[in-house]
Amino acid sequence: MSKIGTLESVWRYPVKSMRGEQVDEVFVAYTGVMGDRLYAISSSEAPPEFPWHTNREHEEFVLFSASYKNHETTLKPAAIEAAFKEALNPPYPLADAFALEVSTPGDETFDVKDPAFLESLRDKSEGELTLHFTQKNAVDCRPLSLFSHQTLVQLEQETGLDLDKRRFRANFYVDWLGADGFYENELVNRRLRVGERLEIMVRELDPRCKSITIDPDTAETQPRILKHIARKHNGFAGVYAAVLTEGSVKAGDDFFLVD
Amino acid sequence: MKSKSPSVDNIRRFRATLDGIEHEVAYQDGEVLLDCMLDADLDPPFQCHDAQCATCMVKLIGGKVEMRKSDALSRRDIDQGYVLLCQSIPLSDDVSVDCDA
Repeated sequence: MSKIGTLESVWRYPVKSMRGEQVDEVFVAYTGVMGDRLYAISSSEAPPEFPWHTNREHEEFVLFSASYKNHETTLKPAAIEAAFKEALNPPYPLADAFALEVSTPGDETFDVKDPAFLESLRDKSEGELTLHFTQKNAVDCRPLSLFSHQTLVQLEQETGLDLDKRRFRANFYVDWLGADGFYENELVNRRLRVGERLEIMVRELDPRCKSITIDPDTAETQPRILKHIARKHNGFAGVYAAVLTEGSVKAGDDFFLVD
Repeated sequence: MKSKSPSVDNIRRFRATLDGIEHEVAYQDGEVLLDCMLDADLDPPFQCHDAQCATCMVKLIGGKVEMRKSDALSRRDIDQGYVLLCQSIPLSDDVSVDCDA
């Protein structure tokens, strides 16, 4: 196995389309990062195959932040070591462990299940909004998304824009060893190990949409970045991966190419 | 700059600024702006062709268009004059869009 990079930071997004949170060490299940996109808001006006209320139609949604009330219990299953010792899949805590608070850009704080929270969003959607909870991670396509420091730098050089990596809403931000931007594209269908146990397979390139045009601190949009990626990189930036072997990861872990 | 000349006389044109150059692009009733620009060998950025990704959002500078759907646009986008090339059908003879906006 050869080392090909380092995990620069790990992120999860407790509510789909809201601001993400950087975590130090976290369990990664077959369904993705523990606590990632467990909540989502659906809109009755959105198409059934993608029913979500997102920052596409409500840019300021990226300024909402969410945090688990019992942060530590949402990072690793309690029985993780014992389960791994027996080659078992560690069971997740009950849904109550993922109780969540949402803070709005207007400095209001809600329990996510408080009807007043959805009520506060009523004028932001044409449709009726409903809160969804799942432990299966409400990701768009695959359990994990990866984006590299090298790709960010290349996009900045190509566009002349100062780009915040958080626009790309990845789970793993990676620093490749001696590689150029978009190196992750070469890893499709390759198996990687991250840290001591996690194994993933890169499955496909990540097709980008309006979400990356939204500044994560101001919610202002910059369509040029998306147009550039469409023209120069066929619309793709970053990759999606599937989880082959569950494990915990932390910033600083090494990436190895398995095969 | 004029795009390819159509072979029939009843074709109208809209204006599209792309990479700083203004083009006159031919269209017939019911055609969407993106298809007309591609037919004219222009290369506006686009991806899904289905109102989902918003790669083809452009600013409507003049005239009127109708969008068949606008899923990827917010109210703010629409209030600021953005439309999706892949969904917009000209409703007036003076349509002008800025693809660089």
